Amino acid sequence: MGEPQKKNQAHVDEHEGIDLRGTLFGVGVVGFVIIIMWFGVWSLFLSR
Amino acid sequence: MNMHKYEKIWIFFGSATLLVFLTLVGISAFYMGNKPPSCAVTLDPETVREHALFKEPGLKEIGDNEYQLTIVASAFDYDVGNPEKVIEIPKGAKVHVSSTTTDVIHGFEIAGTNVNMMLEPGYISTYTNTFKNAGTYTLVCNEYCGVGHHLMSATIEVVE
Repeated sequence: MGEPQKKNQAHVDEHEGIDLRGTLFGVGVVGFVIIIMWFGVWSLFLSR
Repeated sequence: MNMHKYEKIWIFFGSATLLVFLTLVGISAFYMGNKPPSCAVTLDPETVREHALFKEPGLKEIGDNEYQLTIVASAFDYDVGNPEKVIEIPKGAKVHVSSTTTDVIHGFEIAGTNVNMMLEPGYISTYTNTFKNAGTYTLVCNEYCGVGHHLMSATIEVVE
């Protein structure tokens, strides 16, 4: 027989132990580059 | 749905950026009047020279600091209304550019400005541009059109 299921278990943080700081930094860098390029092209368009 | 705190941050960041970009594109198009080149008007490519717009190509003043520029492209030449192939435009003038081709597809790019169109037989390509900066600009064909493609050019002089 298997173990009996635990009922009324307290809330468990399923992200515990997962470190996404590197991913956040990576997404931030890509986003920053996209924003700089977008505004660069737009300002070039407006200035010409 | 249980999401990681950092996932919430970059979803918010991405959505906000998209919203800002779309808002600016909307302002640029509807408030500032920036539009892409149009080629909605058609004509018979064999009778271009009989068309009212292209009988006498060149620059014509149509209003207060407002001009109509018509140019006929053909292999391998831009007919700008004078043999020197030089057009003088006052700085700050609003210019409605209309052009077409009598033979094959040509490009129409005034390098250093936002004027960049494709000329297709049977269509009139139009674009309105305000020349804000004085200087000499080159009109070039940027669609390969044949052995003399590199010879297709004209000069736009924006003067004070």
